Parts: sequence; structure tokens; C-alpha cells
Amino acid sequence: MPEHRRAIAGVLPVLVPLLLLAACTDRRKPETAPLPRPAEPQVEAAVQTVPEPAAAPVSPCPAKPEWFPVTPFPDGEDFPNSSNCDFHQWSYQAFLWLLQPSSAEAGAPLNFETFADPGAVLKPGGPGTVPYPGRSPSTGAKVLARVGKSSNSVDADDVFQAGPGNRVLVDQAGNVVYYSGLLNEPFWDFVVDESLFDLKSLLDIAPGTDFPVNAIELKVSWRVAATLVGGAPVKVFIPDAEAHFHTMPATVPLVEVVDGMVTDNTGKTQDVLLAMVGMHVVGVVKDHPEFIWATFEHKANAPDCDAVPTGGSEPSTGLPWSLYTPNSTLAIQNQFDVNAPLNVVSVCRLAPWGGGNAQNTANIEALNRSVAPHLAGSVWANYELIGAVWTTGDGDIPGANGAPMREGDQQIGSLGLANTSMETFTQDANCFACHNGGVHTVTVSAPGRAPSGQIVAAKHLNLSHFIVNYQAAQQAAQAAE
Amino acid sequence: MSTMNFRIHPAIGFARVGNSKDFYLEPVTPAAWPIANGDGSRTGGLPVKPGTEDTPIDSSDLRDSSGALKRQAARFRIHAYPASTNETWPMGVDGQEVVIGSKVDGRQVKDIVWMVHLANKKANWYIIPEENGIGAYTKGAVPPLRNRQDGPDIGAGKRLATLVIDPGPRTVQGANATPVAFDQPTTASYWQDGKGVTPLPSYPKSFPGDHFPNLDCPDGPIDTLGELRTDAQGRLLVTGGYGRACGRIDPNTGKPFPLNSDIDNDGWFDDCSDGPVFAVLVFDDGSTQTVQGHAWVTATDPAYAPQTLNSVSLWDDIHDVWVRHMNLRPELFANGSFQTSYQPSFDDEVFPIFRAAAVQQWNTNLNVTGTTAHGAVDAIKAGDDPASTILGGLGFIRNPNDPAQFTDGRRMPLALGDAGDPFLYLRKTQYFFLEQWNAGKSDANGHITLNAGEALDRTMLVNCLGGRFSPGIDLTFIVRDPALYVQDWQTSGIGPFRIKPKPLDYGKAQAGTPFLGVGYTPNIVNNPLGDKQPIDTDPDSPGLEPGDASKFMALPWHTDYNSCATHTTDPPIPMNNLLYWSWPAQRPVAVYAARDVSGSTLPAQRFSVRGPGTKTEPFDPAQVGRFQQRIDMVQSWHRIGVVVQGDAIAKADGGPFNPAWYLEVQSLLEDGGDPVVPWPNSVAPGGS
Repeated sequence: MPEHRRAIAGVLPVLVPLLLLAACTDRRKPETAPLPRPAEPQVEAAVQTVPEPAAAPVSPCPAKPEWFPVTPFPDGEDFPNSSNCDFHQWSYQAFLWLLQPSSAEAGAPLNFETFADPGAVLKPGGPGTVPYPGRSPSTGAKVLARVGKSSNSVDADDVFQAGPGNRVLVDQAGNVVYYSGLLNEPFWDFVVDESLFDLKSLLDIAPGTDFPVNAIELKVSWRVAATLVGGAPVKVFIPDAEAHFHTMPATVPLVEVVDGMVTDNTGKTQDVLLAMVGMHVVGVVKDHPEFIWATFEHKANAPDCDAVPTGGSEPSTGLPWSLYTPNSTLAIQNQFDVNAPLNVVSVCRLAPWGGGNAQNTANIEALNRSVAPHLAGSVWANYELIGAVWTTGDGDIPGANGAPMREGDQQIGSLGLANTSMETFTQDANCFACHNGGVHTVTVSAPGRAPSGQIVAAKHLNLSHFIVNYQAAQQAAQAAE
Repeated sequence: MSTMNFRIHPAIGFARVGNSKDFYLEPVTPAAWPIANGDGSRTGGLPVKPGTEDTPIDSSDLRDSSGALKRQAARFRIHAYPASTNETWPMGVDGQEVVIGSKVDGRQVKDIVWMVHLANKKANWYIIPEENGIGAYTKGAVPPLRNRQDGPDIGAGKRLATLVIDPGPRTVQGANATPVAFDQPTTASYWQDGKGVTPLPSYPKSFPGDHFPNLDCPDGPIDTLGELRTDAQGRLLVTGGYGRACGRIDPNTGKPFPLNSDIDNDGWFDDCSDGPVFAVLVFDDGSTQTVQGHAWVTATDPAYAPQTLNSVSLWDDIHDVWVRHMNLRPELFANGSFQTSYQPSFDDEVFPIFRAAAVQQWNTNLNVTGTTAHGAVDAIKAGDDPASTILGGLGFIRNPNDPAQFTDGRRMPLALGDAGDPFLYLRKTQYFFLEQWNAGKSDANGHITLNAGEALDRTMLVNCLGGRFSPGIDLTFIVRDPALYVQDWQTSGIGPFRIKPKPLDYGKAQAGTPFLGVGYTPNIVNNPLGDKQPIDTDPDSPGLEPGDASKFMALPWHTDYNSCATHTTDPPIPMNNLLYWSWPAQRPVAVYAARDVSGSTLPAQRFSVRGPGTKTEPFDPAQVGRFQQRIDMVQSWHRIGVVVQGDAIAKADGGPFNPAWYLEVQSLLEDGGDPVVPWPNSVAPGGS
């Protein structure tokens, strides 16, 4: 063997840094601090009882006095539509309204917890005579966290991370981050009125048809705070979670790697206590059928990338970061490792406050400052508005990848908006990159069938992936028949 | 003096190496384009059977009876046009092919004398400046030298004499001429005005074996750069080398030079080449006519996926330079700006961009979402409202005029860029076509009407790689230098796209003294249009010698081909650890093997480069689908299979198959290696 044939071995690629992997593996060990009884604390009361501060700082974009102590629903018909602040104020008012109790009854679910699972209305045949929200209020806040997307399932949620492939997010405790999708009654009624549960209706609807004012959809992200057996904690991953997070018991599917691909179609479930880490609040207001896309995050989610490595500093909540590996450098942030898909991912925020202009940022920061005193003492004090994005309105629906569909179309607000717990790997695009009125391509996976790519024709309703994913699944089912 | 103008077509032809003495002909149809007058299912790009005008080969023609991979011959022909001193492109006249026996201006063509000079100067050139491409040749600057152990002066006699492979010029004439080899035994000859074909018995030929003992040549010695021959009409066929590479003993260590680079390996030679093609018409009255429009030929890598169209082809790169810098089409671009009144032909200027996207799936591990989306792109019709299509608004397309999008990993093409750009982007002229289409200003019915010669000029370039010149496969970034070409194309009768040859006085060739010099060195003097890749005409460029085009390519080509499967971006993009394709249309990464097909669904993919020596341990997605030791590619490149259209697959290969499928056939590589995982693939965070 000539010398050069051996010499080449010396320049073989550098192997995977094993130390790094080992470090990630260590992080997956559960923490063992005791967990208090997993009961929902009455944080809502705190929201209602905090008195208004005596001397609120002058702000270019304040919380409105009428939001406190009880926040009224932000009626989109009354939307003033006059300034950047109006959009952020709508976002915050909606958020505050969503986290209020839905009734005066003790233990009543929060408003957002009464929203419907999209699969209850977007299913073949529709909900029939079952009224909104498709389940008995007595079952309480039963949110399905993470459900499979398949053509023969009634569920239409996109359970995975935003962006291509099954890129799941694994938190600092080594657990997959779960998601739930929800929609409100105007959204439900619109689906029923237009028979959008019917594939033919979806295919036939005029491309320019818009969602009605006050239609709202939510996407909520959750960390696993503890595993439960018989309602009692077995493994605790977030000590004292109820004191710092909005929490909820739920049964979630186990996520595993099968044939090299991440899947939650394992048929296995586990009972867990979930801790909310993020919420997309997405709603239609007058003259803005493109929706206002707002997002809120728990303050302990992740630091700004500009601050990385953080030198060990912790978030303002005093908690450890949920999604950032302490002291890790920029080189390893926000990256999914296909070869180790269930390894911990370290996350930082690419665009603080969604990366809008100075006025936009000032308005967001002012609102957060202004609302904060009203939330003091509740877990909701640990959440904040990250930003919101919308367009010039008047039927201005972004097209493919958020590109303007007509001359003069413009996006406004937090143009680099992303939620670190939901768009972790695609933070360089805002909501409209994926949520737009253009043609969509969806891969539909169903047990026993090869994955099928579906083209969902351009229409304004494609703004909601509830619609897009459901339509794609129905198209795939029809094609398979 | 003839009132006619004569021109060789194609302007640039491409021979491709193979380890067989046999050959097929360069394709005469553009890859993946629907073939005119066909039944709609066949697409272009298939090579042509020898002895035929345009009969495409099938899979049984790819290898000879011994299993060796056939070479591709470049075929040149001569067309006559009315002389013009104010030429346009397209010319708008048909022209006439001139073969032996043709009548031109009342005279009959008795013979055609062709002269070609091939050479390989790779070892006496500079390393490939991947970070800045042609920008490395700005205002006299040049990259570091290859083979520094042979001296620091690129123009030193010893370097020129020993590192340049130069068999000298050859002539061939008549019909069905027997091969004239570019080897040591065959006497060099050239055409001398007034004297005719003149032998050069003392031409200083040079092959590696003449200077270096104990060469290690895994596939045999480099003792020829190919041959010339003619067909029954007297057209020229140029075949190149046999794909061989040879390594020397390092004089400093006494040991063989290692193959320790993907693109620049000191101590190594390969048998690629290039050079000018000239022709002289000999008439029955004894008069002769030099063909004004000379051509150029280059012999390069095999085409392993001849029907897969590049998103940015060599044509797209060259056409863009000619449009924006050479005043090729003032109706399209004038006074520094694209003309918004221009309506691009949907079929000829817009749709090929869509088609290219759709055919990438046959060479890559694109996921279902990707292939489905590309299918929707391919389905766009001329009459569709752009806003209702998947590309409405062009939000998926990387805008070459917006540097902010150069690092945007969501935009297309989703392939790697060059010269400091992490991603590939369409050439500005291509993007302008898309902008016009998106604005409803494309011509649904119009076509770019080319005559037969012009069509050949374009087709040969459409079938080659553009965009990512790091360095590329067929030609490289020098095509972005306007000084590469003949400048007075409108008035000289030479025509567009012609590489400018340096005049060589063969009468001065003498034994013992290297004939060829350092040669063409790009020299970028300013950047009039503000291109990322700065280009401007250097009026002092002397033109190219033989070997001056291929010298910019990888040495040997095998190591580059091996590595250019997938990579992370270069430069790296913060927080992006995904792997992207280098040259997906021309360097297949993942393929569907015809022999795996059963029934009506596609089988699982295999890597094109697979089998023993390719497996990564531990599994490393950044290194899959290639040989882990470069020497294995030098030895096994001819065993790689070829991707062709389903209905071009012969019965012996299990065909025919669905013509909408492009499947790999004739691979002689054993199975084994790593599994193909659908994109996205990534490296470990923080890795490379």
C-alpha cells in the first residue's frame, strides 16, 4: 500500500465531540427536589386583587386602566387601528383575558383552558350536534398536549416544532417540550358555518375568504415539570413548579426515536404535570384579517443570543434557564442534532423583542413594565410579551414565505418575532414565513402508509395551520382511498 | 474573400473522461427540458449515439463490453452565415451547416482541416481560492502556488517544462479520419496559412512520466490527453483522457505525496485538459478559408446525471455575464439596468428554473415536503396567475440583489454557494426573469428563437454546472471574467461566447524549451456593476493558451468530486448546523437505483458513492456518501452509476421505467455504507 494511502487517514474528519454529548446526557438526569401537591394555585385571584400602582411611570404604550382588576375581552370590532401600540395593547389585553378564570366558580378553568381543541371541530363530518367547545365543561381544563398529525386522525395540530422535519425541542431537564393548539368560539362557529370540516368546502372556498373578527387561535408550549402516577409526582424535573409556572396535569404521548426519526406515534403515554413556557396569541381584529401574531414567554426560557455565554447569570425570575445550557457558547445554540434528536438543545433568543424598530421595542418594553405590578405575586409575573407582528391590513395577506402578494404589502411590528420554545430552530423568520395565504406543502404521515406530500392551494384561510394541516390530512386520506 | 462568415459550434464543447476507449457524443438537448416535437415525456440531456445526428443513448450504451465507463466526445461542426459587422444575439438567420461536399459561395468544400491543442496546466497553477473565487485575482493579486516544492516562480522554465502536460497541437482532416492521439508517439502538427498542415517533429511534448520516476498511477499512466477524429461528414470529434491520476514521490521526504486536500494536491497530475479548436475549409478550387469563429474544448469529469438540470447552469452564469457586461441583449439589459419592458419567454427563460428545482430529487435525499413542493413548482403553467402559485411573491427565492438573504437558509436554491456566499443564488438575469414572471410580464407563448448553431452553443452550457465555482466541474469562475472572451463579437465575425485564444507561433516551437507559458491570469481591475463577484474587462488580457481553462479546476478532479456531496455552509452561519448539497445536479448524492424498483412506488434511496470504504464510523452525516479515503475515488470513480430517465433504461437494466423517474443504472459499486436519511441532516451542534 503506497504511503499516501495511509497518510490520508490522518486527515479524516474530526469526530463528534464526545464531551459535549456526555454533558448533554448528564443534563437529562432528573432533579430530585420535592414537589408540592400538583394543584392549581389561585393565581387568578392575584391578578384581580393587585391594586393599581400609585405612580405609574409615564409610558408611550401603557397598560390600560380598564384591564384591571378584571380584563374585558379585547373586542376586535372596536380595534382602534391607529398606532403600533394599539396592536401590542390588543395582544396584552387578550393575554390577560385568556389567563383569567372563566367563571366565578372556585377552581374554574381559565378562559384559554375553555377553548376548543381544533380536532373537535375539524374532523370529518364536523362536530355535529356537539356544541362548542366539544367537551363537557365539567371535565375542566382538559388540554390535549401533543397529538399526532395523521390523515386518519381527527386531530389537526402540528405537534412538532416549526420548520422542516421532526425537530423536537428538548429542555434542560432532558424532556421533550410539548405543545397544544386551541381555538375560540368565533373560530369554531366559522368552521361550522362554512363547513370547513368538509374537504370539498375547503377546496371550493373563495381564496379571498377571511377569518371573522375575534377569531382567536392559540399555541401553547409546555415543559414537563414532573411525571405523575395516580396524580402524585414520581420524578420531579422542575422543583416547586406551581410557584413559578402555570401548570396543568395532562397525559402526553411518549416521544421516541424509531428508525432514526423522532415520533410521538409510539402508542405509549405518560401522566405528567406540565408547566407552561410559551403562548402564541393570534387573533383577527377589524381590517386585519391577517391576524395579529403575538407571543408570550416565560422569563426563564432563554437568554438573548447577544448575552451568550451568560457567564452563569440566571434569569430575573431566579430560576435556572429552562432551555439554555449554562455557560454554553453561541456555537451550539438553537441547533437540532439529527443523530441525537432527544439530546438537550441549548437555546438563545436571536431577536430580542422580536427585532422590530425602536418604537416597536419601546412599546413592548413599556407594556411589560406597565403590566408587571398588576401581576406581582402570581405566576403570571414570570411571563412577558415578546412581540407581535401584523401587516398594513386591508386584506393584506402575505404570500409564500411571507413575501408580499401585491405591491405595497408590508409587515409591521416585531419583524423577527419567534418564541424560543416554539420556533427554536427557525428564529430567523417571523410568523408570516410559515403562516401566510400562499400555497402550502404538508407531509402527512399515517400509520401503514408512506409519508405523502400534499399541496394546499393558496387561500387566506391558510394563515391558520389548523386549516392547512387538516386539509392536507384529508387530501391524503382521499388520495389513499 | 467570402461574403460568408464561418463559425464552429458549439462555442465551447465538453468532452468527458471515461476509462473506456469507446465513447458516446455530447448531448445536443438541454438537460431536463422537454424535447421539442417529442411526445412530451422525454426530456433532454441524454448523450448521443456515435454516428447519429441526435439519437439518444440508452443505459446499455454507458459502458463498453468490458464494463468500462465510456468517454464523452465533444462534436464540433461548422456553420456558415451571411457576414455581418453589426451582429446581434440571436442573429435571426438560420445559417447553414458546412460539411465536406457542401457548396458555399459557389465553391465546394473538398476538405475540412481541424486543429486542436490540448494541455493540462493544473500542476503549475495556483490553489483554488474558495473563499473569494475570481476576487482572488484582483489588481495583480494571485492565490498561493501549487507545488511550491518545485520552486516559487510559476514562470520558471523547470516548472513549465515538468509540471505542464503538453502534447502539442494536432490536426485531423477528411471524413471518418482515424484517431490522432495527443500522446508522445504521435507527431504534433498545425495549420500554417499558405503552407497547410505542417508537422512539428521537435515540439517539446511533455508528460509526467517524462520527468518523474516511480509515479503512482492507480488507473494507469497519463500518457495521452485524448484524440481527434472526424465523422462521416468531416465534423470533429474530440475525446479526452481516461480519468487517470498520478502521484509523485515528494523530493523532500522521499515518500509519495499524500492526497490530503479535496481540491489542491501537490505532487499529483490528472489527464483533464482544454484548448482551442480551429478549422480551415479547403475548397475544390484549391482556395482555403479560415473559420473565423473558433471554439474551445475542455475535457472534464464524467456526467453521472446528464439529464439533471442545474438550478444555475454554466449557461446561466455565462449568459448573465454576457447580458450585463457584454451588451448581448440590449432589449433585456442596457445602460446598467435590466429593462422592465422585457418579457421573458416563459418556456425558455422562466420554466427551466422551475424544472431544475423539480429534478433535484433524483440526485438528492430531499424529503417529501421538498419533493412535493418542487412538484408544485414544476406544475406551474405559463397561464397561471403567479400569485396563486407556490412561488407567488418569490418569497421562497433567494434574491441575488439582497445580501441580507444570502444567509437565509429557507430560500431557494437550497444548495451551497461559493466565494464567501454560504448559499447558492440565481444569477441576476435569472432572477430578473422570475421578477418579470411574478409581475405578470412573462411571455406565455414566445420563444427565444435560436438557429441550430446558437442552440448548440447554449445547450452545451446548459448541461454544465454553474453557480458554485469552488471550483466546479466543467469550468469555473473564470467564466465571470469578461476578459475571458473575444470582445469584438459583434463586428469580428467571431460571435458571442467565444473564449479568446492567445495567438501562438508554432514555428518557434523547439525541443527542450517549454512552448506554453504561464498563460491567462484573471486580473480584476474594477467592479462597474457592484457584483458580489467583481468582474470587469481587462483589455490587456492576452487570451488563453491551451490548458488555461482547466488549470483552475481541482487537482486531481477525483478528490473534489468525492467530497462535494454535502457540507455545512462556508462561511458557517451562526446557529445553523444543517448540511446542504454542493452540486446536486451533477454530483448525485442519493439516488434511486433501477434495480431496487419493484412496482409503482420508488424504492429507498442509496448513496451514489457507496460500498466498501464509504461507511462512517461512528456515523457522521457530514461525511456520508463518499469515500473516506480520497485514493478510493481515484480508483473507483468509473464504477459509479449514472442517473438516466426511466424510458432510457434498457431491458438488461430492468427497463423501461416510468419516464417521470430518473434512476441510477450501471453502478459497479458494491452495496454497503451508510443509510440515506432524508434531509434535513445536521452535524452535532458546534461541529463542522
